[in-house]
Amino acid sequence: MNKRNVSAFAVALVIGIMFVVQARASGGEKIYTSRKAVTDCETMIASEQATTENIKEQIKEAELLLAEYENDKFNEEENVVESNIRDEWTKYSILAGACDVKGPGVEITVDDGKRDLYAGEDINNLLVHDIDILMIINELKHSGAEAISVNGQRIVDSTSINCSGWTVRINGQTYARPFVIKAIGNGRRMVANLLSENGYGTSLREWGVIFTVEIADEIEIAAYSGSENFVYAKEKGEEKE
Amino acid sequence: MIIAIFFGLIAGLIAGFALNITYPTEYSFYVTMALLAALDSLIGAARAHLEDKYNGIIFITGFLCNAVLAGLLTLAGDKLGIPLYYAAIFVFGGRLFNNLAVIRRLCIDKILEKKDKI
Repeated sequence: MNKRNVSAFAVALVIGIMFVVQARASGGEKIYTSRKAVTDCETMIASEQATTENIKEQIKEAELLLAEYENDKFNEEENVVESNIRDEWTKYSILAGACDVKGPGVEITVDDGKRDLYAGEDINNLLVHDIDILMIINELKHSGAEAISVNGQRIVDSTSINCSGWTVRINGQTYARPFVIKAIGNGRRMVANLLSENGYGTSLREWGVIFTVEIADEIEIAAYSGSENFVYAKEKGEEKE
Repeated sequence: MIIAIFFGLIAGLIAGFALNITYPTEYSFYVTMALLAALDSLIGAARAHLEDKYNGIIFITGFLCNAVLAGLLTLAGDKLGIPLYYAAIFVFGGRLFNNLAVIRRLCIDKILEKKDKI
């Protein structure tokens, strides 16, 4: 009887200890992980490590560039820093529409159709709408246009194109037909896309709107004339290292 | 014997808190399965005791065997990618309830017997 009690006590003791240890280790959380979860985590860790390696390489490259710049301080003739900054500046001013640009591209003219209406046909079929211009601009951007203007108004980041009665407002200015859209880019590609079977130019022509597109070797597009005031958007400062 | 089990559990809980044992979390599931097996053995022993069929060697070997088998099943299941530990959970869990039901009946019978005697 006594022996029995001792063995039962021993086993109960072991169970009690195991219980507490286990409860402490898990903290009530599910800690069993399947093989799949482990593999997933391993894949994630590997990809994170690859990213880290990538970033290390980027840092190395940046350091090389920095060393180049450091050397440059003593080299009067060729200033890499300045030329790099100039390149960047040109790029961003083209991007923002802040400077006049020229280059090969296309000139598109869109005008209201002049044919007679069919019996009961909606006149809207023949008119140019804001949405038509928007669709053409979108198509041009899709075809790699680098600068676009409509009736001389540069299309920039904040450009809006609205319908206002018989006219269209672009960048807050009112324009009437015809609309001349200029775009700098790969002309053949833009024409091919606009006049393809499903292109928007083809659709306009089918409705009866006048749509002509010409490839030009030299297109000039003026800078954006409006001014930008950022009231709400503020630059997010870089964290100091 | 029931009292011994009770005190053993309490002593074990206190010891667990006092000793502050830790082990790698990877093994925690095996420990859980072994714990379930051990608990089953203990309840089984209590039942055998009440039925007067208790055998110390069977108890101790059953305790060790069940715990090891449960751990091994879990390990094998992990390696094969099949949740084999379910087998241990179902068997031990089911037996736990079975044994507990038997123990309860035996206890009630004893109490009723005592009352009849009086």
